[in-house]
Amino acid sequence: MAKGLEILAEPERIGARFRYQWALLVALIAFLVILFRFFTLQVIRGDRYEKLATINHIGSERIPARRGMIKDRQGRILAKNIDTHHLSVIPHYLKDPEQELLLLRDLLAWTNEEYQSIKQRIAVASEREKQFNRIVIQRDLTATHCPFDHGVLELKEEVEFRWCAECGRRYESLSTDQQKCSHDKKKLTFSPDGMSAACQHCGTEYVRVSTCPHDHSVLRERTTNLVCPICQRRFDNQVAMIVANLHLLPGVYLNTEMRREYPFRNRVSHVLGYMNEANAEDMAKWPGMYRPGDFIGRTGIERAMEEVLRGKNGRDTFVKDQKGAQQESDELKAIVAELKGEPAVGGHHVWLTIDTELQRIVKDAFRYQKSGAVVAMDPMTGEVLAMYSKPGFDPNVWSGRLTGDVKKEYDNNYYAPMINKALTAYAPGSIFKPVTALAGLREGEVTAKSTVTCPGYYEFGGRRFRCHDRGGHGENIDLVASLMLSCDIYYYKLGEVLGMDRLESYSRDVFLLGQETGIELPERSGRVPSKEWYRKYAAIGWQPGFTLSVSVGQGALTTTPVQMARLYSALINGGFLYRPYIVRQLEDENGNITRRFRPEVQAELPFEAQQIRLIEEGLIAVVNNPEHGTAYSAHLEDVVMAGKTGTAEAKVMQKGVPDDVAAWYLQDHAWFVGYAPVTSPQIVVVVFVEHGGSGGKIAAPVAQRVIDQFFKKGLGTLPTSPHTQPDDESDAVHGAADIAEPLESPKTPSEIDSQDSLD
Amino acid sequence: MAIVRGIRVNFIGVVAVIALTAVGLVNLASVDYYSGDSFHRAQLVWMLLGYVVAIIVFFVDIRVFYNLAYVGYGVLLALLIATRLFGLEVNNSTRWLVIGGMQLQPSEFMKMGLILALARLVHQTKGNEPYTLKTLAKPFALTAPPAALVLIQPDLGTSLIILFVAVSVLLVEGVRLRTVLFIGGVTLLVVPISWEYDLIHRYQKDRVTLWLNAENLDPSNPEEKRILDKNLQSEQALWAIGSGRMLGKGLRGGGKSRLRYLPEMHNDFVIATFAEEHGFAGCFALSALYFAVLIWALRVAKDAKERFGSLVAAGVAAMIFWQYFVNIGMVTGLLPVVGLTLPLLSYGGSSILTTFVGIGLLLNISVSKVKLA
Repeated sequence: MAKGLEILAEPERIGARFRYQWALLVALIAFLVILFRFFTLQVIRGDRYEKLATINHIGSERIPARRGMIKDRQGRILAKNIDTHHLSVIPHYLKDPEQELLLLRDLLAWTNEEYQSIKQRIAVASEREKQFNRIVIQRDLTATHCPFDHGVLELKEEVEFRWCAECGRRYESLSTDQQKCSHDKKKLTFSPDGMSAACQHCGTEYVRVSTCPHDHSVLRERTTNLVCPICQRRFDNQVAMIVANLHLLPGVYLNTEMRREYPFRNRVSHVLGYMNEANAEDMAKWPGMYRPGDFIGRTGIERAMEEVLRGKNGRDTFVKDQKGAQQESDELKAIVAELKGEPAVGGHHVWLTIDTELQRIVKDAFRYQKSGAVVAMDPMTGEVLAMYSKPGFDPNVWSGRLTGDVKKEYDNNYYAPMINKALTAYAPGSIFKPVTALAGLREGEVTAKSTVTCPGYYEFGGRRFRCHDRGGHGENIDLVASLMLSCDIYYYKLGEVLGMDRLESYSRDVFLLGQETGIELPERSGRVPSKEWYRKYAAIGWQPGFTLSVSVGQGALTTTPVQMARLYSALINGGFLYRPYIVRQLEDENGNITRRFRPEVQAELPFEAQQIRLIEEGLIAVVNNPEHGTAYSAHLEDVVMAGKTGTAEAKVMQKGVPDDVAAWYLQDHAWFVGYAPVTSPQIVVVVFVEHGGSGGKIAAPVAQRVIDQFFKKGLGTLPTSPHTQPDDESDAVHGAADIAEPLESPKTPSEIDSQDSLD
Repeated sequence: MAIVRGIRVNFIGVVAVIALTAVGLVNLASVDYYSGDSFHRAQLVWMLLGYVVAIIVFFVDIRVFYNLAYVGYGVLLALLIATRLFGLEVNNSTRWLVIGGMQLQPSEFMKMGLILALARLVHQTKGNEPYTLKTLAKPFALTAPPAALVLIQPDLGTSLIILFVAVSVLLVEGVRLRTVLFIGGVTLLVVPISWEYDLIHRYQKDRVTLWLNAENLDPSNPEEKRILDKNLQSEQALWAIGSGRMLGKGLRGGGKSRLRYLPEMHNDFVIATFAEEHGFAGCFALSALYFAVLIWALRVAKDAKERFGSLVAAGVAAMIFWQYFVNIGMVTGLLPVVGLTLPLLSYGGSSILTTFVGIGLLLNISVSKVKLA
């Protein structure tokens, strides 16, 4: 162990001694530095820190950014913010929690159950570490708007009511000889003892004495004078009551927050979407951006443009002393760098390409249909002028206090009110035929002169493929006639020659079906089946007969109404497939347009002009040939409209549903695509009626009405004569695209159609 | 004679140590008074245990330490590896090893273990020439593993102390100037590189970022906001220290409500409470006590009869000095915040015991006439 160890040599020790002096010197300097630091902090800056040390709590509050509005192409407001109020408590600053909560209970008419649960929450939160956290105890205090449907509350005559703190029920007083409900004059149902009564119609309960008929506790008297014109619920001005008593409620705070209001209710619902509370997923997607309880766009434009709409929250900081009093000393604020506040930046307003007036026309035209969608598009730009899906929903209800009953009602609706059917894929039926026809023309498999004979059926592979006209369309059906009559035999034969692969390639690669269109909203891609697809998914594998089905828009082929709007737009605008778009421009909170969206060409059709002209001829004949057109009933007097009907087989055997729903499921999908004026089209309208029946009888009249009103209401410019010179085309087109320049003529809110809330 | 000399040489040091333990206990009782915890009771037990340990170490022949230096180092290194594998994770850091219900912090003991092993290595291998880059290889090989193991726990503070202690011991022993300059230069290069390539932990980076430019951070950026929240903690410590002014607010006269900003009040930030209660006068006196211990330790090192004892004493001096300087520097905002205890004032059994082993060794060396031959 001890080998190699020896007493330190003398010279080394001297060197070491020298270095120990150095070490001591270094240490001394270090100690002096520390002492000097203490001196600076405690003696030189001592009084400043002493002042700071009186700060008990540095608070920082978020200033929520104002969410951008959503406007239509004319500047009409589709979504705006209204202030709502909520009540919160910071447990540390409550002086007398018991008394304050009792007062709140009386002011806000809480039931005992509510009261106990709030009391419990505050007791839990009062524990150490959490006592400074703000807890929201009641949202949506009523003041000016109904918390259920955002109706503007109306001031009515004061009605006295009695309120039971035990069960929270409200009663109105019953006068001696009263037999009828004071609200709707319906006869009252009395209890056996005659002391209480209820109106079976509106649910109002009456009492004669001041005890609750349910639990016999003593009732308190209150008055209420606000009525929601939409749901007829009665409210108190809770905000006013709290404000009047705020001096008795230290530690209780009335906060304002913004909620969304959609003035047009059901009219534009699927486009706008709705908002609700941010969930864990949202918070993970945008870390630090949302707190529990914050609202976030959930569907539609509210969701798609969330990042643009939400803006940037600001921050306000404040200092509180030991007693909880707010200190506004500039000196303190200057000392603590943390206290620099920051203003909120409001979100951008999103202008849509939607025209709310056209949307109203569409909704009105669609009023007899149960379920389906309508898309109106400017064929020259791809702008979506109207997008309507039925049944719809009221975004106000979904963005507000959504009650379980209402949610259930939507969930149990067989017609899927929450689905945007304009962006959902369905079998297109005959409106697909121009794709097959153009493929045949370009591939040289048919010419304008090729004809078929239609006996009403076509034998193929041992199966009889029927034409929709069982009796047959007869001889000499050429391409134009095949479109006009929608003769299936022509397309069965053409499909057979073309084959599945070519048909698939034209649908997918030329007309961009089976893939998303790139519109801002969530959409389905639709499906263009291939042989491969059938081998994989069809029960019987690939069969040549499938080609025939697909060539008439049946089989596994599905497309969305928006895809068909883009496809027909390309047929009539010179062959350009424009990206369908719905966001027109962005405007910052100061009113500056920060971004405009322009038409985007996604693909160009490779067909010769005369090939497309043949199709157009067919489409014009569909509406305007009085003898054979499948949609002649939809023709217009003032303007020449063209289009194509489609009736897609979509029979579904549905079990366990009401009979009327089961019957509905058995019907065909009705389609119609129309455009006008034929010489210089300004609008393409796709009407899809889910299980609506015949395209010509059901869907075409909707489009007819939409296009008629479009021109009658001045949304489009009527050509002076049906046959305008080609030179004027471009002008007319631009007139349609910019129906009005919104910047130059913004409409004031009062001009906005407010009657719409009733539809 | 030896006893008399022992008393004379060690008088100031021992008095200072006793005074520091007393101040430490009273101060911890104050912290507990504000927070409602009871760390000072446990600390009392640790301190008594510490005194016993110091006395035992005092009486053990120094050759035992010499002979067991490498074994001890090996065992502690094994414990550090075990901590890495089975350690208790607290606040995203794995520093504690639970043995028989007791929480041990091997990194604390490693400081002492490295001092002994390094002293033996230097004693055994070094001649009278100063160290060069080549001859430094062995001491480096001894220091690097524990420093690295502690760094990845992660515990930047203790890791730095291990490094500082080793460097101090070697510098006192003598390193060629050229070598010092070269290693210094390399360090200046390595720090920015390790910063850029995330070789050090994010929270450690935060603390440095904060220290460098707290004023320019943007609270609306969540990343920078997180750093600023940490700042509020150190800021509150500054307020507490500063508000003590010249004479302090008196025992238990501090502000109770700020405690929630200072989770490390009984531990790394323990000086804040002391400074608030006793002011600049108290801080001056406390620093004087530490300085007294340092002078004592350096003197023991200087007067040691052989190189091993001298180096061990120098190591203990370096350990106490660096912990004092870095801890107070960080709490008063002179240095970035790293987790590090203040010897004898901060709560913690491992830290107390390590310090007392060091004090026992100083006593031992001061009277030892044994020559390691």
